[in-house]
Amino acid sequence: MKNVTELREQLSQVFYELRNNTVKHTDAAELANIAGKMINSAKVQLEYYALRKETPTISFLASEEALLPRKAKNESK
Amino acid sequence: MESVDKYKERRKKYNAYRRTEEYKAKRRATRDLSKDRERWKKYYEANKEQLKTYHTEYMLRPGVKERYKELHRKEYIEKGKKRGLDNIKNITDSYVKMVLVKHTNLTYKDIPKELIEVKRLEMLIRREYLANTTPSERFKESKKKYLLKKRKLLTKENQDEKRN
Repeated sequence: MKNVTELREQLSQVFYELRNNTVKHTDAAELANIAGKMINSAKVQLEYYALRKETPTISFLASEEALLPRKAKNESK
Repeated sequence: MESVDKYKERRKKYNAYRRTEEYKAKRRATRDLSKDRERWKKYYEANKEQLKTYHTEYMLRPGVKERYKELHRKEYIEKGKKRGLDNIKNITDSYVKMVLVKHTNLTYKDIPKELIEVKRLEMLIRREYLANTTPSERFKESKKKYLLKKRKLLTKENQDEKRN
């Protein structure tokens, strides 16, 4: 999982499976726990930049759509 | 012909009756509110600007805001509580933001949408887990994890001792 969008997809899949009883509750809770850690780390990064009054694009939080034009620009160079 | 004094007395009685709860209840029951609403709508659309300016001016008068606040304090508190509980139940954006912002220097504006969505999913899974397991089960799980961790640490320490 490199991105927030990927994490979201993964979590939504886990939630769907949890509803269908194909995943154990404990396993799902573990995954949610890991996701929580990732979210908290992103939050810390956000807080750091907010304190420094900077607004850089955090690669983890930037969605694929937002990153696409950048990639295209880099490729053209 | 009715004398003026008699008329005044009758009128007084009628006015006193109009002030009673019985009369008010009767009026409330028989009153056609839809007609009133239509009439009020028409009046409001015709005098929109005037009414707005009057209202803002009225609210700016000294003591008016405070009086209204005092009058509707209970109502506001109850509404706020209800809204807060609904937010928690439905995991709205504002609730997720509140959770993320708690104990940090972040503001609501700093939090991107993607993070809110992910946090919401995490909360959903955690709630599902809590709803489908009992506290004793959760305690057993945590105990298992703790014992595993301890065993791993012990084996590591033993290996280190052997190396030394």
